[in-house]
Parts: sequence; C-alpha cells; structure tokens
Amino acid sequence: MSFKTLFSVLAVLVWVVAITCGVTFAISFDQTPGARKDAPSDWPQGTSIERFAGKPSVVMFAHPRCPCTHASLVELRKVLHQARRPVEATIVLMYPPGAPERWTATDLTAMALEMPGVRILHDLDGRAATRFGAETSGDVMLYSCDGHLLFRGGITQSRGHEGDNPAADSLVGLLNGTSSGMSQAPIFGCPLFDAKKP
Amino acid sequence: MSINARQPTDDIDERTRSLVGQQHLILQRRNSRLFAGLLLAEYIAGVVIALFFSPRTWWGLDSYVHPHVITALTLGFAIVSLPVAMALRWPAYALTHHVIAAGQMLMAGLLIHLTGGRVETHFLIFGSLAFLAFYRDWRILVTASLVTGLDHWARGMWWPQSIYGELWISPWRWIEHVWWVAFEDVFLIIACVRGQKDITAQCRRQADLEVANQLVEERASTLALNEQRYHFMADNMPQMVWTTNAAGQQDYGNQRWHAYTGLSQAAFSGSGWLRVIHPDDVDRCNTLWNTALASDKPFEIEYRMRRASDGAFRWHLARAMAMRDDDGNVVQWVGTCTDIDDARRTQAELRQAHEMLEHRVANRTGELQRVNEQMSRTQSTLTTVLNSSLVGVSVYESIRDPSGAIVDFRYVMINAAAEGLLNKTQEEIVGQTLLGLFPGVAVDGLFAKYAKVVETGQAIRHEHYYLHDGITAWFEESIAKFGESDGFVVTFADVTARKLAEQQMHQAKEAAESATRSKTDFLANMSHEIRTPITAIVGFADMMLDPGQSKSDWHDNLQTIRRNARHLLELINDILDISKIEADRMSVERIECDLSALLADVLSLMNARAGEKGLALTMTFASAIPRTMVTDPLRLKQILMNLISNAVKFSHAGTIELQAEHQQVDHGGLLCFRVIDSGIGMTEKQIAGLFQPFTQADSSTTRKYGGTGLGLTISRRLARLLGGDISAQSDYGHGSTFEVTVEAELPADVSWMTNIDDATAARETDGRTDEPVRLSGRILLAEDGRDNQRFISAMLRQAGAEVVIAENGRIAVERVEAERFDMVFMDMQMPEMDGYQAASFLRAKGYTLPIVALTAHAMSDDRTKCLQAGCSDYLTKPIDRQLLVRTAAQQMLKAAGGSPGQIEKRANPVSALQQGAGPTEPLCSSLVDDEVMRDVLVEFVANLSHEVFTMQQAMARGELDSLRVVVHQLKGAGGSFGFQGITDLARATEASIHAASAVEQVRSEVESLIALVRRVDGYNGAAEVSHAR
Repeated sequence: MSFKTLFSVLAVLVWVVAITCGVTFAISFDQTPGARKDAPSDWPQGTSIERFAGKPSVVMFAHPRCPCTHASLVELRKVLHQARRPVEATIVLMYPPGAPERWTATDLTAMALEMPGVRILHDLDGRAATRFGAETSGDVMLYSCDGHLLFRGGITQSRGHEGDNPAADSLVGLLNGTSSGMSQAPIFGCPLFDAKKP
Repeated sequence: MSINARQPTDDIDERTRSLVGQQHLILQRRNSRLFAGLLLAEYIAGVVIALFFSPRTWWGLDSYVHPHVITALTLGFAIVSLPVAMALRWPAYALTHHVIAAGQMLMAGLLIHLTGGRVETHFLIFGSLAFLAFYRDWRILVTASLVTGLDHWARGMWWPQSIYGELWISPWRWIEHVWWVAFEDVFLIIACVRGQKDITAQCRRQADLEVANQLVEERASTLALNEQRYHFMADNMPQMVWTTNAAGQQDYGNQRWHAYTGLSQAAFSGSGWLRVIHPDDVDRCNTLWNTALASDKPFEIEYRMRRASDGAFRWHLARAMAMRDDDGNVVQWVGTCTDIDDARRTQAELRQAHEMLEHRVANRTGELQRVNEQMSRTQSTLTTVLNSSLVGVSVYESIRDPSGAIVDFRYVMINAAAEGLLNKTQEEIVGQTLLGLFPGVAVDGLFAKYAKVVETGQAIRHEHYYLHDGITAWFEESIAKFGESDGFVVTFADVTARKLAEQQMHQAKEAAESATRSKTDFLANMSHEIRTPITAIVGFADMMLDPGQSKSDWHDNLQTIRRNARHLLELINDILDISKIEADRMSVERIECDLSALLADVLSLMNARAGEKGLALTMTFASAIPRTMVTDPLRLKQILMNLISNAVKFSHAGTIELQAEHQQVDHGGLLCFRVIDSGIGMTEKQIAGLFQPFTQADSSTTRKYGGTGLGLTISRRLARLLGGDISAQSDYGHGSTFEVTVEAELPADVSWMTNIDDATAARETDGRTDEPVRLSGRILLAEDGRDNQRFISAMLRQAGAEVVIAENGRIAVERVEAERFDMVFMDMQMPEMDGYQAASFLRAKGYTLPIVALTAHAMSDDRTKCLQAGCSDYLTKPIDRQLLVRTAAQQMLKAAGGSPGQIEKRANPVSALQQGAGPTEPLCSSLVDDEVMRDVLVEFVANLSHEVFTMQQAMARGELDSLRVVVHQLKGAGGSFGFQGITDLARATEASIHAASAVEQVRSEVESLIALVRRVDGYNGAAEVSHAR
C-alpha cells in the first residue's frame, strides 16, 4: 500500500470521526432542554401580569434576543390559531436589570407584536419570571379559567425547530377541552437569567 | 518507416486510451478544483446562514456565539477540510473524488440542518449530484447517493427536524428522499456513461487524426528523402541515368548525362537525345526503342555516343526498364547508359592475351607432362626398387607436443618388405603412429633411439630383439635422419635365422665340448670296467697254462674265466647299446607284438631268478591291458627285465610286484609298468644320479651287488625311444618303485586282458615251446676267425649238422659253387671278400639256399644291411648256441619247404617251463662265490644232466615212482646248492604227483622243472644227449 493510499485512508477515518463528533455536539445542543423551576399551580398573587377570569390564560416567557424562541413563537401562534375558545395569551419579554436601551427592539419582539390577540409585557428585572418559576426562554404555562395550572413547558421538540410536537398538541387539547389534566414538557431555549443569577 | 513497425489500429487504440486518460485527468482536476471551491463556498454559506439566523445565544443579559455558528464553523470545517485538501493535493486521485462526493453530500446535509430542515435546501442535494456527474464517473454518484441515503435514514430516525424540519415524520420518509435521489441518479449515470462514450469517441477521432497526420508526415518525409537519395545516386553514378514518360519522351537526365552529351535539359528533352547517337546506330536504336515501347519489355542496346568534350564517339551499353503503377500500367521508363568503350577495348586486348596465354600454357603443359612422365618413371623405379628390396624400409615423421618434445612418430611410407616384417599392410600402417601400432617400442628403448637420431641427426645401426606386439624376431636396423627435416628413415631386416644359427652353433660347440668331456669320462670308466674282467680272464688263463694245475683247479679257473667272460659280454652289450644311444643311432622297431606272450616270457625268465633269492614275483593289472600293441618287443622286454633284475638284485626278502596299467592320455594311449620291490631303497640323492651312466646308488653297490651300472641309463633311453620314460620313487630302507611308460599304439582289432592268467593262457594257446633242436644237413661256415670257426662249428656239429669251413667270402663262394650245402653261416667281416659281397654274389648267381649273416656290428642297422645284401637271417656275435641251432633249423626247414612247427616235431618232446626262464638266461647258484661249496656245486651241476635224462625217461614210460624219486631229490638238493628255484618247482611237481593230478599237469610241471634245470649255469646238455643215446 502506497503512502498516498495509507494517508488517505487514515485521513478519511479521522475525518469520519471528526464529523461524527461534530454532529453529536449539534444534536446534544439541540436536544438538551433548558433549566426551570416549579411553576405555581395556581396563578400567583401579586404578580404584575393580570389574569382575566373566564378565559384560560397562556403565558410565554421569552428572551427578546433568543434566536431559538422564534420557533416557539411560531408554535404559539399555531396553538392560538387552533384554539376554539377565547384565550388570554401573554408573551412576557425578559427585561433584565441593566439591560441596554432598545433591549427588546428585536425581530422576536416585532414578531410577537404581530401576533393578534397577544399581550406583550416587559418583565423588568425578571420578577414575573421569578414568580412563575420560569428560567428558560420559550417556557409556556396554561392556567385554566379558574387559575389552575394545566400545562407547563416548551412547545418545540428541540432548539429553534418548528414543527408539530406533542407539547403543542397537548396545549391545544387543553385549550379546546379535548384533553384534561396537567401536562409537562421540556423547554428548549436560551436561559432567561445570567449564569450568576439563579 | 517506423509507422510500419506496428499496426496503425494498435496505435490508434493506444492513443485513444491515452487521450481518454488525459481527458479524465483534466476533468478530474477541473472538477476537484471546482468542488474545492464549492465546498469552501458552502462552508462559508453555512457559517453565514448560522450567523444570519442565530448569530448568538443569550443567557440573560449575556450573549454568546450561538452553537449553530460553532457547529457551522467546526462541523462545516470538519466536513470540507479533507475533501478540499485532497482536491488540491490529489485532484485526480480516485479516493479524492469519493471523499469529495461524501463531503459535498454531508455539507448539503449540514446546510439543511442549519436552515432548520427546509425542504428548499434539499435541492442542494440534487444540485450536488448534478455537479458530481461532471466527473463522468457513475461510481462517484453511487458514493454520494449512499452518503445522502445514510444521512437521511440516520437523521430521520434520531433527529428528523434536522433534515426534514419536522418533528413527526413517517418512518419511510427517508426512502422517499432517497428514491428521488436514485431517480436523479439514473439520469445522471446515463449521462455519465454517454459522456464517457462521447469523450472516448472524441478521443478516438483525435487519435485517428493524429495517426493520420503522423503517417502523412512520415510518408512525405520518406518520399522527399527517397527523391533526394535518387537524385544523389543518379548524379553520382558513373553511368548516365535518364527517364522518359510512358510515351518514351525523355524528361530527366542526370548530371553525368548532361556533362557527357553537353546537351541542356531543354535540348535533351523529348527525342533530342538522338542527336548524340552515332549516325550509324540511330536507326537500330530507334527500332529497338520503339519495339520496347510497344511491348513494354526491357530495352538493351550497345551504341556509340558522342562525347561533348572531344567529339569522340564512345561505345555505351544502354538499358531501360518500364516502371508500372499498382494497376500494371507503364508510367515511366528508367534507363542507364554505361560507357563500355574501354571495356570493349580491354576485352579485345584480353582476348588476344588469353590466346597467347593459352598457347604458352599448352607449351608448358607439354613440358610438364614430359617432366611428370619422367618423374613417374623415376618414382616407379624407386618404388619397384624399394618394394623388391628384401630389406624393410619405413619412413617416419616426428610428432611433437606444444613444448617441442617428441611424443610419437607417424608412418609416412613403408615398402613391401616392411609389410611382411611388421605383419601389417601399408594401408594399416601409413598414417598411423608408431606407439599406436607398436607400443612395445616404448618399453624396449627403440623409441628413445629413434628420438635420439631425430634430435642429434646421427645415424645409428644396431641389432635389436623385438618381443612385443605379436612380433618375436631379431632385427638389424639402420636409422638415419632426413637432412634438416623432422623425419627419418629406418631400414631393417629380419636376422632371426642368422641369430638362431649363431645360437645353435654356440650350443653345438658347448654340446661338443660337453660330449668330449663325457667321452673322456666314459672311456675312463670303460677302461676300468673292461680291464677288471679281462684281468681275471687273462690271469686265470695264464694259470691254466701251468701244467702243474690239478683238474680241479683247472675246472675252477675255467668257471672263473667263463663267469668273467659273460660279465664282459654283458658289459660290452651294454656299452654297445650306450654307444648307439650316444651316437643317436639306436633305432627301435614298431611292429605289432603279442604283449601277453612278452609278459609271460619276462615273468618266466625273472621268476626263477627271484625264486633263487626266496623272493616272490607277482604280476597285477591296475587296468585292462591290450593283448597286442605296436612297439619294439625286444626293447620293451629288455627294459622290464632290467628293472625286475635290479629289483631282485637289491631285495633280500619280501615280494616284487610287476604292475601293468593302460592309461589313456590326450595324444593316445600309454602302457605303464611299475616294478615295486621291498628292497634296500634309495635316498633322494641316489635317485638323482640313478640314470647317469656307470652310476649305481654308490660305488660300494657295484662291489656288493655287481652290474655295469648302465642298465637304467639304457632302459631310460629305450623307454624314451618307445615314446615314454622311466621314473623312480623310493623309501630308503623299505623299497623302491620304478615306473616305465611306453607309447601304446593299438591295432584296430585289439582285445583286452584283465589279469596275468589271460596272458599265460594266451601264451599256452600259442603253443610256443623252447626245446633243444637237432640239425640234419650240410652247413657252410664262412668265418675268418679261427676261434669262432672252432666254437661255431662245434655247436652246429653237436646239434647234428655237417659243417664245412671257409676262411673268407671268396672261398665260401667257390665252395657253394662247387658243392651242395643246405645253408650258409656267413661272417660279414672277412678279408678278400666280405660277407656282404659274397652274399650278394651268390644271390646274383641265383643261389637260393639260406644265408645267415654273422656279425659283430651291433651299432647300426646291420640287420637291414645284411638282408639287403641277400642274407636270409641275421645273428650277432657273440653267438648264442641255442639261437644258432634254432636259426639253422628254421632256415633249413624253410628251404626244404616245411613250417617252423615241424622243427618241434622233430625235436625231443621237451615242453617249456610254465613260468620258467628262457634258454638264454643262465641260472647261477647263489653259492657260486662260496669257495667251500665250489667243488660240490660243480659236481651237482655235472650230475644234473643225468637227473634230467632220468625224468624224461620216467615221463616217457609213465613211471611216476621213478619220477617222484628224482623230483624229490631235486627238491632237497636244489636249495642246498643255491638253486632255490629248482627246489620250489620240484616241490610243486612232487605235490602234483602225490595228489595224483592229471597226467598233463604232471607232465607240464616236470617239463618246467627240466627246463629250469637246463638253465643252470654250467649244465652239460651234451651229457644229457649222451645219456639219451
């Protein structure tokens, strides 16, 4: 076997290994859910987010600059579109302390603003998120008309990837009354808080 | 041309393959570089897309580069790094193309992932395959399709949103994608194959074009070169070269042509060339040229052409030949003109010189023939001389090794004599090497002598005894070298005969000297042996002349004289035999004889003598013995009697055996007799000198036992004359064995006997008897010796004859002519007229009466000589009395017309002894030398005749008592007087008488006894007669 052949074969082997490692990294990034805390089973008291009685309330916590949350907004729009009864939908944009000006002036904010019937709130210092136990962008919670938590989690299968997924379907079922009970789903998105902050 | 070295098709195929390979190389390099750029562009696009869609990820207020960007950077780099590197490094390497294909498809997959699995991005896959088809290699498409299929299958299984943009997909979604890929692959593969074919066809066309161009170029080049060569050759040829068109119009002439004719190309073209032809040759030339043009056959002519330089017409030989195209049409004539003017002139001169040479050769040939004839005659003469020479001539040349040493010689020539001497033909010898034919010359030094002659040049003459290689001969050789050459000649003659003659002369001289010495010794011995009895005879004769001698002394002296005289006679007989033998004049007869009778005689004679000493003589046969054989019976009898006599002489007790055996040997039969005694024996030394003359075991033997010492010598010589020999073996003190053999030539009708009884019976059958004979008639005795006259006449008168004496031959003849005689006894040595002359004369006169020769010559063939002279029989001196009487009786009876048997009828009826001794052998007493017994012994002998007479009378009358008394007296007295044989025989006879045996047996035994008594030495037969009267 010539040097050329030997070298080529060895290089191909190394090449395959390297590509495999790269793919594995990509998969693990995409499919690793973000952190979260337990959400309050009933709409918390004293929060700045107002709950309207008689309608279920959907609350999504989003990082205004998280590229992965685009897919969550798309999926939320699909869910709201599929809901056959009025839903009070709120997108809470994280506005951490010390955030620069125009922190929320992003494509994501614009996209959220374009969503009909959706209320956009800025969560200064993340207080609301803290109250609701949200730590990852794209975290969605559904509270029933009487303020009980029905759903908690992300509505994408992986980071930044749109598409039908069980969590979104479960949310639609709960909204339409076709399913009942509490649903949980992993959340794929950027962390809402700094690493230093819990 | 090199293009012809290989088939153009092979070249085109090879060139096509080469061009296709080049095209592929170009395609591969171009495509690899294209994909290197494309991959890099995709990489950049991936990074850009990642940066565009998700440049950073956020963690509260903190932002970081988004993992998608990192993925695009790292994974994208990982994907494109190897394909790009290999595309740049080994763009034409097959693995590079497959790595590029895999990398391209993976990059497409990455871009799909980065775009979130957008379906639109999937078109990149189809685009990538289309790009990869640029390689025109369907295998690359397969690799790419497999990678894509695998990517779709794996991500569909575990990461569907990455490739399909959706979370929930059908498990067979990847197959759908792969199917579309395969669908495209079909077209792309077809396109690849067609593209490949197009490339091959294009390359083929290009190769065809290239090969065609090359052929055209090469042929054009060859054509130009050939034309250049043609013109060069034509211009440089000594001949003029020209060409014409098919119609015969000249269009080219070489430089030589123009130079010779002085015509320009314009003047020469067409038929202008005829202007330089000699006017006398123009018509002939035109005719032949037109004929050649019409027939297209070669044109050849000799004509004269004018040379421009001096205007001289010179002879030329013109030749032209038509050139044809592939269809056989004449397109051109090519011709040459060769100047043969000098050649023609030279040829003429040569012809003249040749004629002169022929003339001279004829003259010289005649001279040579004469010289050859002269040489032939000379050589013929020389050859004749050489071949007629009795001397052998050999010519050699030297053979040397590389160092110059002589290793052999080669025969160049030999003459006829040499062929005979060397026992080989000329063809066998000439050309061969000396050592090859006669290797013996290296052994006996002859080769060295030849080499020396060649090296030194000095001739050698020598005599040489050659005993090798089948040749045994003496040669006298002369060796001489040929001048300074390396050859030499050997003349040689066979001198073997001369050498042998010289050796024989030398041996003869030595033999003569030895014989002289022997004669001297012989004479000395004879002198002693003869003087001894003569001394006694002369001495006792002198004593008898003394008148004072008593009758008794006188008788004693007479006995002594008689005994010594007999010894002297015996001695002389032996000497005569020896003399004959020494003179080589002893001859033996070869007549058929009765062996049985011979043996019976021998036994009869010797048995009595053995009996006298108390010895028993027996005969045994070791094998069957022929009854008759061809030999000399007298000599054989002499030999046997000598041997038995010796055995008796040297034995004191025991037995003597005569053993006979017939032996068959290669050359015939031998009769062997062994005389085995139990006597004193001999030592080895004594045996060694036994057969020398005058030799007995030692000198004391002679004194003790008597004898001349010549007997064995004579016997051995006689045995050898009879074709045999005598040998002796002895155990000292215990006896000896003498073996005599004689050649046994057998008659055709021979019968065989197996024991002595056969022999005896045969003898009795023969009816032979030895009886005293009585004579009646007149006998003339021609004898000059007075003593012999008295002695012989007395014996004849005693036998009854009337005797007349003649002193010589002449008187004998006169008396025969004057008187009537019944026979003549003729002494052959007489004065005036000897017996031979007298006998011849009488026979010439027609007298037929018997003439019996008496001669003392026992040295030669006297018997034959006498018979040739006309004698009827032959007797030798000293005369045996009974033989004399019997011979006379036989001759007279024969003359009277009777048979020998009639004599016996007339004689007294006295039968022979059964085994008695013959009448010629006297029987001596063992007491003969006893002085005390001498007187009584003489008296006993004197009375024996009376005893014989008495027995004859008693037998005649049948008086057995009287016979027994006499026989008894003989039995007692015989042994007492030293005659043991008489006692023994008398005892046997007495026993027969007592036993009242048959009369014939008694008669036979009595006759044997009488015969034995008659043989007693000193027996007086006359007294017996007187008794009878």
